[in-house]
Amino acid sequence: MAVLYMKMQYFSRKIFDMKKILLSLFVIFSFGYYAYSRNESTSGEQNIQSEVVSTTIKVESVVPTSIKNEAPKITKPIVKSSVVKPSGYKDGEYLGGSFDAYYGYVQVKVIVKAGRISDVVFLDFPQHSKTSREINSEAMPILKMEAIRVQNENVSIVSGATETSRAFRKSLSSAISKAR
Amino acid sequence: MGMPITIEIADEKAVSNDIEDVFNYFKEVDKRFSPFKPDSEVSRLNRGELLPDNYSNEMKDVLYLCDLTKNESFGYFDIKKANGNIDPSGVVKGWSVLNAATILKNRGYENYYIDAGGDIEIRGKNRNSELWKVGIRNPFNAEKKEVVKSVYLSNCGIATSGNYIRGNHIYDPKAFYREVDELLSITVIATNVCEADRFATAAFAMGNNGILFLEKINGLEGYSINKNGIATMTSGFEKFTHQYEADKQIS
Repeated sequence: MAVLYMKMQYFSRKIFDMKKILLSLFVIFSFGYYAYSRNESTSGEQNIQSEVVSTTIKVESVVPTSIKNEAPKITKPIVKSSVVKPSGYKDGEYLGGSFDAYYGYVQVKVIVKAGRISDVVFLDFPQHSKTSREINSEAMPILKMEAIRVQNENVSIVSGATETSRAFRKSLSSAISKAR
Repeated sequence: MGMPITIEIADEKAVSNDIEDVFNYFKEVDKRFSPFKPDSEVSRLNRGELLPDNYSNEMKDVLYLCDLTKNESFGYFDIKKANGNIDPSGVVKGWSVLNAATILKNRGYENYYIDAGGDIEIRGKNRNSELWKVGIRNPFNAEKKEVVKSVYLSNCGIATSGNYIRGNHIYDPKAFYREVDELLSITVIATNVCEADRFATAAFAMGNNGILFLEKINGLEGYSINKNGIATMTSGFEKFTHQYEADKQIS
């Protein structure tokens, strides 16, 4: 495998740095593994489909909480389309789908040279510098959690949600799926 | 807006005309912003019958707030729906309650709350000269008005975002087909109800990351409840649960 290196142009938090490195390594290795496995399987087949390869990774839960203490869960990598040449990917630059960083969207550009990944570049940066609000940029917090319990005290003012009737939600989601 | 509105004034003198004027203000807001009224300004806008130059000042204010919220929430708050229409309800409620509170303030009231569908602006103290006690509703029991958490508030706003019966207008703008269902509700306490409402809506769309988003922003505290009945609170939230805490500044 060719030497891989990443350029990371944005960060202020070390913990998040590491997660992002882990994440991008995962992107690269899953990409690389995909290339490798396609390599193995295309002998004798004709593969003429075209070529933009994109990897979309949805990060479900980035931050450790007081109950869960695990590395970011990465689910459902979606790799579209297929290889052009038996030797690997067509040379060029490919834009990976944006994925949710904790603070915004990060787009990855994968550069393929000689059929192998030669570079991964982070393109998109969180926009927080444009917000009017001051953002506390310390390390990721660990937030208190509790099981909710119905209280029997008399409270006259109530801030609420969830007046959804199940029937209404069902009809709404079928309407949404028809519209797609 | 088709939702219950409650006003309570704790000041010694409360003139019924003033309360009436506030209710009339909400009727006007509903006339202008209800997506269920075919001749509301928002419906006409969505049918392409209005040019931006002809938007009312109120519509411009609301759209500006929607834009601001979208930027601040990295796109998770987005009033544009799957069918191309806009629905600014996630901002209109809090915005209108804040304006209504200003009406009362301008008439000299100092101790009151205004509650429109669970978005509440709270000023001063209650009739016992204590902080106003507000409950966070149990999202698991839509039929009853049960409370799972109580907070004591003054001079701030509180709003809860979740799934509303009048339209599931809360969804993930990054994936229109996916309804957000990791969270049942998220409650935000902010310096005023307009802030609370727009950030509650944005944070709810982020699912489990919403509470982290709130934690990172000064001036907001949050309490989210997920589908397993587990609540997560921002680090500054707990002080609101203590009735006699002297210093309740939001930080």
